[in-house]
Amino acid sequence: MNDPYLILGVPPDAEDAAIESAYLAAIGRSPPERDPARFEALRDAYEKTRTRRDRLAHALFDQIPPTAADVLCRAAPLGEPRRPSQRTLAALLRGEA
Amino acid sequence: MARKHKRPSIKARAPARAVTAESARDDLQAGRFREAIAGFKALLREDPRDVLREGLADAYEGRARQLAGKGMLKEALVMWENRAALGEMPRRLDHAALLLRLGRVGPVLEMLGEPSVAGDPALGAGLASHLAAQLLGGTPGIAEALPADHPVRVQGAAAEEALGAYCAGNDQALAQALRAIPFRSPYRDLVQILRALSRLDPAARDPASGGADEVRGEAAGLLDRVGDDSGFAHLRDAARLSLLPEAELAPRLREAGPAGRDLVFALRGWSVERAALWNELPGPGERPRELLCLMFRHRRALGEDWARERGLRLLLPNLGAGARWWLEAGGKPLTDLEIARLNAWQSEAEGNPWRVAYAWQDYANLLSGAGQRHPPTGSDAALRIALARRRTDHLFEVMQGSTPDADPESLPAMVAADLEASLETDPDDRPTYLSLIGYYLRANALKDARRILKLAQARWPTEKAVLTAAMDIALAGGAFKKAASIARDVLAVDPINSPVRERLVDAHLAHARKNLRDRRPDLAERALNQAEEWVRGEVTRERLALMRALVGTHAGAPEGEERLHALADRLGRGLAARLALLLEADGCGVPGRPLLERLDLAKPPAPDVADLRAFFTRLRAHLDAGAKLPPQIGRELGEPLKRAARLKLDRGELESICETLRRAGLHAPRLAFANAALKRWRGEPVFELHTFEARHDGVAPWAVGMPDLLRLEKALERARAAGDSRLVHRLIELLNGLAGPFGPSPRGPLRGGFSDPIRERGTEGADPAILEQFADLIRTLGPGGVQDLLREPGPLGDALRGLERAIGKRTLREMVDAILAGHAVDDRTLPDRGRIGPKPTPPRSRRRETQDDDADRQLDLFK
Repeated sequence: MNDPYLILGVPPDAEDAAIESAYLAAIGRSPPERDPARFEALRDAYEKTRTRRDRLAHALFDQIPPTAADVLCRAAPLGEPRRPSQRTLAALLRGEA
Repeated sequence: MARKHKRPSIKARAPARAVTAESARDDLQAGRFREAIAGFKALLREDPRDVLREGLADAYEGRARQLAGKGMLKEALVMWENRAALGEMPRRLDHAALLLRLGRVGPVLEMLGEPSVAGDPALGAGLASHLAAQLLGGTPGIAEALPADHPVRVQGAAAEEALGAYCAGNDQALAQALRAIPFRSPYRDLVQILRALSRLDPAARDPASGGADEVRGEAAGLLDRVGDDSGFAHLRDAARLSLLPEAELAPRLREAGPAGRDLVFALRGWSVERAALWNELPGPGERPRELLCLMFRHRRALGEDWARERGLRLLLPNLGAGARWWLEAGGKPLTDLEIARLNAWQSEAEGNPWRVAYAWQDYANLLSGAGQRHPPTGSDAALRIALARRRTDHLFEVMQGSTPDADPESLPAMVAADLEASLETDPDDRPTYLSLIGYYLRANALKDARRILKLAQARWPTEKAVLTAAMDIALAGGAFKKAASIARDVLAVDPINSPVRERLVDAHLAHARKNLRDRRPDLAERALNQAEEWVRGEVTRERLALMRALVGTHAGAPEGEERLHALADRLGRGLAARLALLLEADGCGVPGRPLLERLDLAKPPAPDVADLRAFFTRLRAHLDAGAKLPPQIGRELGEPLKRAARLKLDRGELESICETLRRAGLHAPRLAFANAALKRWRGEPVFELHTFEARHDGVAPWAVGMPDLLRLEKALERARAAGDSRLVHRLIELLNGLAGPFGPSPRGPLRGGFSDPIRERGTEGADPAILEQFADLIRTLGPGGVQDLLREPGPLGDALRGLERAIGKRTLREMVDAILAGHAVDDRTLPDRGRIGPKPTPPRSRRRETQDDDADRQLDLFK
C-alpha cells in the first residue's frame, strides 16, 4: 500500500492534529521492536503528511501509482477480523479448499 | 464449425520403440506416468513378474496424485482402483482421503479393518485423522459405521464443541473443549489449528502479547505442527494463507478455493464489498490500464477526487498510451494544470534539470495566472506555487555549493530566481532564505545576501540560523565588530554552538590582521584579547600565540622576537613550522622572507616524513577553510617540497599529497611527487593524471605533445579496466578540455573513444569563439597558407595534421573551402566531431526550443 493517508487511516483532508494522533495510536499498536515493517511504513507515511506543506508537496510531487491494495483499502477499508462461519470450516474439513 | 480435436491415446502417440523394464522405470522416475503405465502393462502381458506389477502400481499411484492435484478427483480414483486391482498392494492414505472427499466412506472403513492397516500405526493414525476431519465436516455415514468406542467417535463431541465455540467467539468454551481432547487424539491437529486461529483474533489476544508480526509467527509455528498427510491439512493451508502479508496475499488468494477465501476474508476483516471488489481487480502485475478502468468504475466508492488524482499516477511513464486509457476508461478531459503536472513528472523521470525547472515554472505560472495574480499568501495555491518553484533545487541541490557566475541565464541563476520568487507566495520557508544567503555569499554578492537576510530577519529576528547567516555576511563584509556582536547574540541563545564560536574567533583574528596591516598593533592586540575570550582548542591557541608574537615584533618589543623563536622551536623549525609562520605573517602583511631570516629559518629545510605529514595536515586545514595558498609562500616552500618527493610514502598518502598540491596550485612539487610515484607504480592512472596536469599547467591545449596525450589515453583505459569511475570521469573531463578548435583531439583509432556515458547526450564540442578564431586564421592564411601550415613544425601544424589524419584530406579541404567561401563556422562546416564533451548551456530561447516536445504532443491527446 502506498497511500500515506490509507496507511495512517485518516481522510485525505485530515489536519496536523488528526494525523499526529492517528500516527501515535498506530505506532503504539505496532512499536518498532514488535512490528518493524509496519512501524517503518507508518513513520514514512507520517513524514509525508506531518505538516500542511508536507501534504501539499506530497500531492504535488508524489508519482507513485496506486496499488490494488490502495484501491481496496480506499473503497472498502479493512474491518475488524471476525470468526469464520462453521459452514466455511466444515467445507475446508471436507477437503473443499 | 471446427470440431474439437481429440487427443490421441498414449498408445497411438507412443513412437514405435521397444519397451523395456528400464525405459518404463525411466518414465516413472521422470513423472511420465501415462507412458510408464503403458510400458509396464505391455511388459506384464509378456512377463507377469512381481517387480513389473509393483512398477505399474507405482505408475498408477503417481498418475492418481497427478490427477487429484489437477482437481480430477474421479479420474484419480480410477487410478487408485486400478492399483488396488493389481493384488496385494500396501494401502495409501491418499487413496483413503480421496475416497472420503468423494463421500465414499464404506471402502475407507473396510480399509480400517484390514490387517495391513491395523499393523501400521502411522497409517492407522492418518486414516483416523482423515475420518475425524470428515466427521467434523459433516460427511454422513462415518459415526454410525465406527464402533462406539473408536476415538474418532468418542472425542468427536469435544472437537465439535471446540469448533462451534471458536466460530461463536466463545474463547472460554473453546479452551475448555480443547482441554478435553487428549494429546494422542485423531483431533490433535485441529487443536493446533484452532489455537493458531484464535491467536490471530485481536479480541481474543492478550493486549500484553506481541505485535502483529510476532503473533503471526506464533500462529505459523502452531500450524507447522500439522503434517501434510493430516486430515486437517486443507484447513491448515487456508489458515496459513491468512497469515501472509498483504502484498503476497492477493496473488495467492486467487489460487485458493471459495472456502479458503472465505476463511481469509473473515480472519483479515474483509467486508463483502471488499471481497467483491477484489474479485474485479486485474490479475498479477496490477496492469495500470485495468486498474484505472476499475478505479473509474468505482469512483463513487473511491471518491471522485481520489480516483482522478491517483489515476493520474497510472498514466506514467507512457503518457501517450495513458492518454488513450484515460479517455477510454471514462475519465473527464484533463485540466491544463493536470497536464502541466504530468509534464513536470515526466521531466523528473528524464533527469534533465533544465527541463524540470521549466516544467515546474510552467505549472507555477499556470497556477498564478501567468504571474498576473498571486493567490493570497498562505493559501494552498500559494504554497503549491512556492513548492513548484523550489522543486528543481530540491531535486538537484543546485544551490548547494553553486557559485553565482556571470551568466544570468545559468542554471544556478535561474534556480536562485525561482527560489526568490517562491518567497513571494510562501515567505515562511526559512531554509530557502538560508540557502539563498549561502549562495550569494559564496560569490561575495553581499548586496543580494543582505537583501535576503533583511527579509529573513524581519520574520525570525532571534533565530539562531538567521543570526549565524547575519554573522557570516558581516564577516564577509569585514564588519568584525558587528560579527562579534551577532556571535554573542547567537551564543546567548546557544552557548555550546562551537561553529559560531570558531567563526567569532576567526572574525577577531581577521580583525587583528587587518589592524596589523594598517600598522595599528595596539588595535590588533585588543582584537586578539577579544579573540582569546572565545578560544577553544589547541590549534586556535597556537594561531593566537603566533599572531601575538607577530604583533609584538611589529611593535618593536624584544619579547615578540623571543616569542617567535620559541614558537618556531615548538613547531619543529621544519617545513610545517615555516608554513604556519608564513601563513600568519602573510595574513598580517608581514613579509615572509625577512621573517624567516630573522628566525634563522632562511635555509631550505630537508623535511623528514613526520614533518612532511605535519606540513600537509596544516596545508589541508588551510585549504579546507576556503583559503588559498599565497603564491609567495608557494615559491618559498616549493623547492624543499620537491626534494621531499624522495621520501618513501605509501600509495594512498602520495595520492593525497598530489591532490593537496593540486588544490594549492603547487604544480612543480606535484610533478615531482607524481613522477616519484610513477617510478614505483608504473603507468598508475591517477599519477599519470597528476603528472600530465602538473606538467601542462598553463600550456595551451594545442601545444600538448602527442606522446603525453597517448599516455593519458592509456591511463584512461587502465582506469576503466580497474573500474575507477571517478578517475575515469576526471580523465575524460581532462581530455575533453584538451579538445582544440576542431572538437576532440583527433588521435587515430582512439578518436572519440573517451566518451562519457554520463554525458552521452552532449554532442556539441568546441567553443564557438575558438572556432571563429580558427576560421579567421584560415581566412588570413588562404588555401595556400593552410597547405604550408600543414608542412610546418610546431603545435599548430601538429594540430592541423592531426585533424587531416582524422577526417581525411578531402574533408579538410572542403571545410577550408567552405570557410573561405564565407560560410559561418558551425556544425555544417565541420566534420562529425563525435560524441564528446558536455553539452554547453544553450541560449534561453534555444533551450525552450530544444525541449523534448513529445510529452506535450502526447498530452494533446487528452484534450
